[in-house]
Amino acid sequence: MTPAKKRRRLRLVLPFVPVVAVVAVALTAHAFEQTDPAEAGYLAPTSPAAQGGRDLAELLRGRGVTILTDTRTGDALARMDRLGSDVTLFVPAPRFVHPDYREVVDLAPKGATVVLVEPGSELRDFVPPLGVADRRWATAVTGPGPGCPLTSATPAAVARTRYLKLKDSLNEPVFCYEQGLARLEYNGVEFIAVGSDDPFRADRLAEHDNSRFAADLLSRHRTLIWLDLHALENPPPPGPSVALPPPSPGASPRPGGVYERPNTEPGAGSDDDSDDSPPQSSDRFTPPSPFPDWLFWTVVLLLVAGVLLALARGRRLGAPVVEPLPVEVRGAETALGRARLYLRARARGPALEVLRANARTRLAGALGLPAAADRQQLGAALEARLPGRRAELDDLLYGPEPSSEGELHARATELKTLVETVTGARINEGVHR
Amino acid sequence: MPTARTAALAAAGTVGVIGGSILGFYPSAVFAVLLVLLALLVLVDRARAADPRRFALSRSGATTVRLGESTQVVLTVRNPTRTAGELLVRDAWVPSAGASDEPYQLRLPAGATVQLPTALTPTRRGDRPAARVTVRSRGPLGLAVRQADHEVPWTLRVLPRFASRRHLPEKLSRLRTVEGATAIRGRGQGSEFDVLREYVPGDDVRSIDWRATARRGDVMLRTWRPERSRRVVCVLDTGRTSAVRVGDEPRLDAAMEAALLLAAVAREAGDQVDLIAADHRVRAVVTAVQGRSLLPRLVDAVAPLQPAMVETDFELITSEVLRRERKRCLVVVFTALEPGALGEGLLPVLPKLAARHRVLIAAVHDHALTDLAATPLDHPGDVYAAAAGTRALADRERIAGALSRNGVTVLDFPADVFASRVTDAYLDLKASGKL
Repeated sequence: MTPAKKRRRLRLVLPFVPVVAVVAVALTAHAFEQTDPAEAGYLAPTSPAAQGGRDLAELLRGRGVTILTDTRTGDALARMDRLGSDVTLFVPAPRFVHPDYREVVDLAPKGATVVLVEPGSELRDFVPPLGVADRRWATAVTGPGPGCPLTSATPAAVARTRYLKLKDSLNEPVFCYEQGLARLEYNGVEFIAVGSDDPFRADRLAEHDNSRFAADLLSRHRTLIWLDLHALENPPPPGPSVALPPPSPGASPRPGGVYERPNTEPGAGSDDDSDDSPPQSSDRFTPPSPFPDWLFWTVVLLLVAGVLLALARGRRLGAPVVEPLPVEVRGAETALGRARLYLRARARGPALEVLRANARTRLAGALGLPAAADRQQLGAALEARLPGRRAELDDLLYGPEPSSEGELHARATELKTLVETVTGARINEGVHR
Repeated sequence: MPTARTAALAAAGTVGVIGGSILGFYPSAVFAVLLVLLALLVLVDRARAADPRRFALSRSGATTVRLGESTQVVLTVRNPTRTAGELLVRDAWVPSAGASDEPYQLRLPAGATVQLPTALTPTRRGDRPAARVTVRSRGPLGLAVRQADHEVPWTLRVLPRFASRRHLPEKLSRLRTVEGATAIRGRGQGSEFDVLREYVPGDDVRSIDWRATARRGDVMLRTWRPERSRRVVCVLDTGRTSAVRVGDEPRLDAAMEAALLLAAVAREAGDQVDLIAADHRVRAVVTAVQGRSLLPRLVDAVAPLQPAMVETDFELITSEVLRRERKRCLVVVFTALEPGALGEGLLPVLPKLAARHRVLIAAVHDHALTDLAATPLDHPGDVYAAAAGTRALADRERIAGALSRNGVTVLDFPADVFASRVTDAYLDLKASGKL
């Protein structure tokens, strides 16, 4: 590779290096800062880690909340059933809840609260009317918005994932923190989706108003069931799907069993057929496409044709030929540069002096004087040729600096006329030695 | 590499996708099948194309051409493969070589040879190299091409235009006048003894050779002729001032024209002509070449010269001239009347040179300066331009005066008459026997 080629390649590559470096650093930092729910300490009620939940648990205990920990959804649901409505189910990792369980969380006692930390697409399994709007690169710290009924906290780091209403339900969902916090009473159970895990983490608890926000959300009931999951849990044990009557005091729940309860939601009840079909397909309805099915592949084939054409047309028949060009300099470049310098410096005196000196030499030559003729000699010789103008011509040839552009112009024109009159030739024309 | 035909075939495949879909085939399957088929076709076609890397190429033809004239360099292509080649051949030269950039399209049977003439009309003096030959071979179906570059080196030397040749007959006739007239007018037109002849009334009595008269008993007249076998050294300044564009060409080119004309005339006059081209180092030297081969050698030596963006080292030039030329000779320095370059470079060393040799400074006059000095004073700002031009001219006058005081003749003429006037100056010197 020639040095020139190497330089050109460098010139192409260099601008991208800082960009790539910045992106790489940002990605690394982001990945480093990113919490991983699969880690054992992640929002665990006893973990003292930076991502742990011990501080949060302490905070809640301080508010008089009893914290019970479960590591299986089945156990947690059973416990909720036992404890009744004054209970909060805290799910720090909703995506590790087995899909079969997600469908039945809404069968918890009416009035109970389920807090989901940053649920993604699995939110629809828990609460079909809610869905994910978008996910940001980093958590935004936002205010709760006017009249948020869920917390009295001021701005907190909540909005990373934002939620929206997918379909109508009996109750209208409530959104706070620019839709980073969603609350919907579904089947009598209050579901709260929090768009970020920041407010619960030990290392962020003290930032903004995170601690008050977390405490407000989780201390709505006297008992908190902390569902501590760090891997996708096992499916519920197979067994007859028993439709239990609404749990009544004294009824013994079957731990690990699957509960079913008649759905009281009108939105869910309206499409009866979907109740019979497997729950997976009930909310995955796709409308028929308005385009014929061959369109996509036709377009892809046309794109392929376009790429082929670009390749065929883009292949040059040999590289362009380079050639070093000889140096050429415009004539009179220095003189033109000097003219611009005179102009910029408004060098009226030097400019006129140059013209005067030139005129004196020419006049002396035309009048038969030696080139070194002095002021007196030249004046006398001019007097003889142009009588009566001695003082005027003396001033013209030896006078002071012009004080204005106009005067300079007038003097220069007069000098030119004088030389032309005396020598009888146009100035500076075709004079070669 | 695919061709436009491949792309067209792919585009036509959309009909297949739509038709297949109507007939009940999956469009994705049809698409995949078509794509694989197309890829297979392209690969097969590529394999059946003649391998362009194996073609044997060579060149023959002109190696020199005069600037402004056209010539031909023939590219011979042989197909040593067993397949006939559908070829597209591009013979690339540097742009200033003036080659037509149209590629040759041809069919070359297996084992056959073809000659491709490339017409060249160079636009610039100097060595114009061929860049490369690109051979593109197409498959029999026209769906794939293979391409290879071949280096087939060839250099065309473009000689100066030597447009001042047109002055040559006139200068030669003037030379004959100078040489012949001396026989009639006798003394004063040269310093070398020619012949003795009888006195005819009207001859200069001072030329009568009394000794011969006494011997012959008849009044004999001594005749003189211009010196022969004198030496002329042309010094071309290829430094920064030679890059200035005067009229249509750089000053260096005008200097070359003048040097060539001078050399042609001087050779006819029986003088020895040497040439030195230098800036901060010596670029070309032609010395001790006699007779007919002088001009070709000179032209060949100056053809690749280009102006260099450096200050000319006149000390180097002086020492070079003094070293090479022991006898007194005429040194013609082709340079520019640039106060900076000459005042600081040439003036300090000029006495050394002028003491040993007769020096002529020939400078191409830059008309732009005269025009600048004569700027019509229509606006107040024009005064500055006129003053700058006048000052530049005055500076040139001053440097010319300084040079003249060193016993040097200064020639300052515009490019169109430059060559002619420089030769005239040489002829004048010859006629007056001052060589």
